[in-house]
Amino acid sequence: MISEERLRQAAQEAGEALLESLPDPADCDASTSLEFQAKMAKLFRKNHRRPIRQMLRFAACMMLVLTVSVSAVLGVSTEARDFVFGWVSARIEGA
Amino acid sequence: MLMYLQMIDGPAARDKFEILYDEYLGLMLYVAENILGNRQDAEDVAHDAFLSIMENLEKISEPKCPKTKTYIATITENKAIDLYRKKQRLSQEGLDETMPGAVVPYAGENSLAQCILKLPARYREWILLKYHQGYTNQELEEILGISRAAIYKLDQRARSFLEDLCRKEGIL
Repeated sequence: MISEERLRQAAQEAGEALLESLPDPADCDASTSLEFQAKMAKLFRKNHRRPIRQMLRFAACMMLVLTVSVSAVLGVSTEARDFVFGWVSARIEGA
Repeated sequence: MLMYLQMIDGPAARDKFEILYDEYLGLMLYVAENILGNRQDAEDVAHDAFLSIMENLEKISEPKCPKTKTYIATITENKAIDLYRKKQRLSQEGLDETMPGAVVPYAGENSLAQCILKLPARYREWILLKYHQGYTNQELEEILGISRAAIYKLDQRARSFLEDLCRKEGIL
């Protein structure tokens, strides 16, 4: 049985050896086909939209939490139910 | 809520992704081409690897550092093996046991490190991601895009293979 600590130390050395065996990225040929460049351009656009998607997801989560909380309160408390339905009735009658 | 807001990426994440692309594209193509033997497949692998990197961008703290370079090379190797397996129509398990990793010269005296470098590619990258890069099993589920059960199985098999190799080499 190999201990976690021993494995961690050995993996550190192995990782460093792997790193040394890799060429300098600047020396590698990075020329690509037009097809690849088009696919990557799409990926870059997707990456640029990430913050918007994350904000929308956040807003959706908040809406869900709010809906569940309000439903729970309305389900449990008769006072809250009376208040909300009273307010809704008043709004409808007023309109 | 604040924690969630902090997770939302801003321009820094976009810049980071672009830096990674400019810095490591050539290296990724080099790693993938060494495994797959042709440029077109290597480009497909680089694209898949960038997709995975983009989804796990928060796991990269510094784009230009040795740790990131090893991470990028390991992820690319993983994606290249996936594509190789698909093309050869090999089972996951059979390939894990047989597909060798790129030969890495090692002049140090740590025999266990030597054994890690001799592991099949899939097991070596697992050990390096977990014990060198320090990712948790949960993070590796997201990085490698595999289930918790598959992660557990991979961990067991990699360790067992390493222990067998160590026994053969007389370390254990």
